[in-house]
Amino acid sequence: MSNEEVRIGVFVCHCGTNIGGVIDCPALTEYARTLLHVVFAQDNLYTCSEAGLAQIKKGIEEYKLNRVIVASCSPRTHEPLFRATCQEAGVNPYYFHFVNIRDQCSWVHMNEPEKATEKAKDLIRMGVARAYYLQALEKNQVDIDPRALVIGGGIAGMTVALNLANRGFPVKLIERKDKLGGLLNDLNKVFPSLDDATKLLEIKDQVLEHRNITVFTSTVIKDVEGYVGNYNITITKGDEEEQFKVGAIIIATGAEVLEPKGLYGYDGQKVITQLQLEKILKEKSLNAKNIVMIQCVGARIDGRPYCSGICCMVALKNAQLIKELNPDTQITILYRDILTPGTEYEKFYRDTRAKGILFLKYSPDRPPFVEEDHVRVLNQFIQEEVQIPADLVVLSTPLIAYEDSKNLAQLLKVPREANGFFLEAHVKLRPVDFATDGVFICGCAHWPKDINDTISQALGAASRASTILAHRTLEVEGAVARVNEELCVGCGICMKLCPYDAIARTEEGLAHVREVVCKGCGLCGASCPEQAITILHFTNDQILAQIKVLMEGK
Amino acid sequence: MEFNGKEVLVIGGGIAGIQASLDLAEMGFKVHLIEKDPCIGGRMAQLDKTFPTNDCAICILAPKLADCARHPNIKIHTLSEVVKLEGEVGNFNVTILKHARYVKEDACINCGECTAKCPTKVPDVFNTGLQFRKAIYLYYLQGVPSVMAIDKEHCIYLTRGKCQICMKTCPRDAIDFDMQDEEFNLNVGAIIVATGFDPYDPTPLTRLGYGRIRNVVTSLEFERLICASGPTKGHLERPSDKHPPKRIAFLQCIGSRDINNNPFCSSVCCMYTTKEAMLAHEHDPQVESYIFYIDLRAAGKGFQEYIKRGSKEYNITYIKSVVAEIEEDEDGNPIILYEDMEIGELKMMTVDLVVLATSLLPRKEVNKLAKVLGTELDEFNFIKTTPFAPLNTTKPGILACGCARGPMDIPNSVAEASGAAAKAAEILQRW
Amino acid sequence: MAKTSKIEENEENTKSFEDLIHEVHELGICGQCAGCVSFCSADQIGAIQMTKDGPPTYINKDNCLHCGICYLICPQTKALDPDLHEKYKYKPPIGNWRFISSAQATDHEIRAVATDGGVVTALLLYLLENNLIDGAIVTRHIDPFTREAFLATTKEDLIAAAGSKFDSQASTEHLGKYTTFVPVTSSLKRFIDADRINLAVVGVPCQINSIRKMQELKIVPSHVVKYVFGLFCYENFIFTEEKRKEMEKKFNFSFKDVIKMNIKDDVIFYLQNTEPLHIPFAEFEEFVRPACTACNDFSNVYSDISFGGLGSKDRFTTAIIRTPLGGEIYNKALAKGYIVEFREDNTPVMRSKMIAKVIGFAKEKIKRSEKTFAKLKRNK
Repeated sequence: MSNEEVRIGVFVCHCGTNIGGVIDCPALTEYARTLLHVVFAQDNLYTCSEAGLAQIKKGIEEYKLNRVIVASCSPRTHEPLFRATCQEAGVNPYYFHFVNIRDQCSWVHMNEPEKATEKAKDLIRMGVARAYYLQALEKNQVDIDPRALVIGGGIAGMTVALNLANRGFPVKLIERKDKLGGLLNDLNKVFPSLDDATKLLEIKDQVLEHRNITVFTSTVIKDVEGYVGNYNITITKGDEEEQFKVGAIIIATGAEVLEPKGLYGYDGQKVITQLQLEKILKEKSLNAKNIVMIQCVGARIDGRPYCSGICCMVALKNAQLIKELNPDTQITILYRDILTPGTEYEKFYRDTRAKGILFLKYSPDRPPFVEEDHVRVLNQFIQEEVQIPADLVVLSTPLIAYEDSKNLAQLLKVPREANGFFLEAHVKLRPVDFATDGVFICGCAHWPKDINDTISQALGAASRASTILAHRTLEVEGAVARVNEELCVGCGICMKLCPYDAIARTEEGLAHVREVVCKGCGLCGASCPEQAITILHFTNDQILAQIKVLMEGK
Repeated sequence: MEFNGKEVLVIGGGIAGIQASLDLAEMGFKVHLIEKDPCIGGRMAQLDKTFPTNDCAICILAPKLADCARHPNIKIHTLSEVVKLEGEVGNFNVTILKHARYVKEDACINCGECTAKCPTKVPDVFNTGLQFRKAIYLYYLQGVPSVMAIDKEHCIYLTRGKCQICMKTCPRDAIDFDMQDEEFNLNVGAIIVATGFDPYDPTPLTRLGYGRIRNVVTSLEFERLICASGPTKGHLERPSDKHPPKRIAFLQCIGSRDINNNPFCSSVCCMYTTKEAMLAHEHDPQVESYIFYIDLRAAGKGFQEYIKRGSKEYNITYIKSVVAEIEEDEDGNPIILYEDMEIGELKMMTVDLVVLATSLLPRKEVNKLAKVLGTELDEFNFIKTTPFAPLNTTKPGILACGCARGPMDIPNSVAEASGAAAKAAEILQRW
Repeated sequence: MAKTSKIEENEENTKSFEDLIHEVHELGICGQCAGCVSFCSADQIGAIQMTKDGPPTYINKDNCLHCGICYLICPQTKALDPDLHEKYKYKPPIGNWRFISSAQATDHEIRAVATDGGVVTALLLYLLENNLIDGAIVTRHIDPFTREAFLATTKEDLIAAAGSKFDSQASTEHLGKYTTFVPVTSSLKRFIDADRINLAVVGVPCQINSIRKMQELKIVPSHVVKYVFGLFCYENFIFTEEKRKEMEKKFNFSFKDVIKMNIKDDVIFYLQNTEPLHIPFAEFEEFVRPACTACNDFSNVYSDISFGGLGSKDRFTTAIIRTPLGGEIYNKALAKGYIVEFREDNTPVMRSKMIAKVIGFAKEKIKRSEKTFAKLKRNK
């Protein structure tokens, strides 16, 4: 707290009729004037309008205000605006306090205007009490390293790398196998165009030759330290180690095809996976006359409830290719639901049927049985079991998360969901971000998807990464947690709880908040057994003051 | 990294256009976001909740609207459309037609006095015609910019020279009937098309009775009925007698997977129907829902679990079937005649309300736009994109994302929007 | 709101209530249809009000916003006539029509109280029972010769409303009041939002004319009107006590004995214990509202269906179906058995006789209105 006199200005907003239609705003303003340290109070119709903001600036100037309270809507809508206004008028933005008398008052107490007005008075009194204890805070600046690390050299990783490199960002691309290309290297043709998979691999050359991309094959990550804009990466290739700095990390490690050991008599010879079929078709060594494909093998079951999205199209694609090679081949596909969404895939399904490939729906509680030379399954339509001759059975299995994605997740301190795929910040609005700033996800490492979606999402991740890399510095929010090292005993509870992985252990074993990553959520402060953590802008003084004046009454 | 200071044009102010604009703005590019309606927000603003988390659509959209409006690098042009395009990638000259709002954007404070007194009542398109709005109106409650607009086709002054009640009640002199449509030019390096979708109108499917049987509604009408900011304040009422329905049937693949009416699959309807059935159950635990489907398409993250939860906890029964027709009994209850595909039997079911899961089609204005831009459309009038460069249209420098490209859900639209931003940035940073 | 010069200029050029006073009220041709008041109060401008016997007046002249809408929707100004003519495909003398029929309600309760065949009431009952409307604006007796408008929402309400309606009343005004104030009767409480209500309105030509003009402008409160039933109307009467006593003396009867009144080819009083008394129109000239002589619409040309006793035999209603909507509900009600048509009354010959009669009266009324306007011109 500074030594200068605290001079608080209160601006009560009518918000048109949103607040003014329920709450007596003039009375509220009158009441505000009676509170300790309030030297100026005013009400206006729309504080967020240009006129309203001008009033705030005028009030600050004329009455030499050093704390500003606006009682109106929600901080989510206009806090940045009012903070900026204060700053423009020479008041530190953290001396601004927002009292919500709309969402938390007039809107929910529409039918009780008198009580709502009384409650609004309480809220303002609380706000004034807090304002007295507010402190000036500075936003920190953090330097950003413009380089990016892309983990994974499949189609996703290569797409991200190329986009960023073309825009001038240096990219380190690491791939643990000995060549780029990922799953594409094992594929025969791709749907729905039925182009050779090698066509898509043409960008490999662009990646290898690009002056902004450094490719490391047969390489894995050993260690990751740091935070957004300032990562220290250690990689190993065989025995060699290398270190470099990057500003953002993109995970594009893909997924693998489930090998259905123990399911449907899988033996890799007569009962194979679609991936193995791809190899056979590439080598042109197929000689089966009766083929049965079974969908949803090891997927949509207990223990693995998800649908892998692409397997239906894979089966349809391979069925069409086989029929093309040898029109006499009998192909039957046993399915639970056929997944061919969108404008192109539905047509592909229709074409597949037209080509004479048979489809039979099976129920998960009466799955097919693979026998010596046929497959037995219940035909629900006629309620009879049928036997379908089969000299080759192809199992469509899902893409599953790599077992060792666990290690990567730990290294990067990002979460995974129940099936082992990486978990993004928000399923809908932040599908390629992580909650922790600076790390991004795309492709099948995120969730099984086809090539087009992989490419789109990879570009999406590149875009999001570049919103950081494009800046020389990043401004960091001032309302962060801070550890009092004299009180800290190094128990580590805060480090475990922090959802953003913002707390690191110092050399002395104590907790230290990396302010650039901290979001000020307060979890650490609430959990510290030694009360060693202060959440700036939400200090104990401030919160206790609010509670005290509320209990004291008017 | 240097770039040439060129700007980007984003056509369409829905969630995809907004995401692309925000990404580009964060990267340091200047963006012009044009939107044909009076407010940005698009279709997502019309939804109640969104799958698979069932969080409130407008609650997660509104902060993005506010960000767009406030970002110094984004300029929003509403009531605007592209009318001419010249030039080539890296150097496009675009002519924008901005229709007159007849309300000064910097003067209107959205106090609502004019709307209260405007004498006309016009069916409200945002609420799918289920309620009326005035000729001077705010497109929707949380719309950005939060400024009124005058509908010149229904304004008595603009059509017949009488009235002007709004002008007389406005406390800020914000109404200006002398405003004209104006054209202005922009020079941009890249263009992103994010025009979104229109829902299929099931009137031609006469067997299903939409338009004939009052208790047959579309999915978007259902969203508005169950939304707290909609015409019934979120109380689900059936149209004929306003009684709350207890037995609801949802029919899938309306205007999709149908060789006579759009053969493609609309991708999202299986999921959004489950969501709607869940919402109906949340509003009234006595509701039983029946979803008539062909194939249940739920491949995204958490989608299978969502469907399972639906049938376990929300009293939803999934029936693999083909619906032949819908009739109506004396009390207005729809009767569904269908073939149960699991056992091959013809059956009948009487319900209180039928919701048709209509497909997502390209906006009707997109034909004109494609001509102006010189981009090709596919056979369904979606913007055609090139194989394995899914965000590139057939014209270099013009990108497309979201439902303008093909029916898709919000996570995919957002990811694609970011992707289109990356592509646009690549164009600008190369030239 | 200080008036800008633009607003002032527009106000000078816009015809509004002042002009109605000069062009309609002072010429004695205000039919008191209440369209103007209905709109002004529905939009909460509150500048004008109905009076008991006479044209509407200002409540507060300062409230008038000079919007000009009252002028546009007045049946006596011709401002919106071209629009209505086009929309409803008007052809003189009886407007556009699809078919004519003679029918009767099947419900005996309705027939017992109906003026003619009870078809209006039966159709309203069809609409109500099938949830096509939430209510109907009709009129009911306050005393034998005066009525008031009200919102009928049940069969009982409709029965109470059935019967002749020939006194000056204003169901249009009630329409305006209805949508601005919260309805009082408990059956109306469930209508939370006036936007999602569907109403039927029964009215005479001037009222329907005003409502259709409101619908043309898409203004409140006409947005809730879904079905428009129009009554044939040659004229309305003002039954003052003095004039009643004169008539009683002349024709040797007592109004106390009048059970029912009807108008077909002449005025018919149905008396207790004696034969119905027929009195030619000429005897009622002094009872006629002056404004009625300025009206040229006998058969209610803008309604969905027009109804009257003229052309049908006793206890039957003539119905002229005009719009597709009118045709749809008439046919559905017929199919569902709310009304019945007898074949002998509806042969092609009978139908042409009915239409000829209606045309005859319509032409008469047009002629009379031309005469009235010619006189007004001369007196200027």
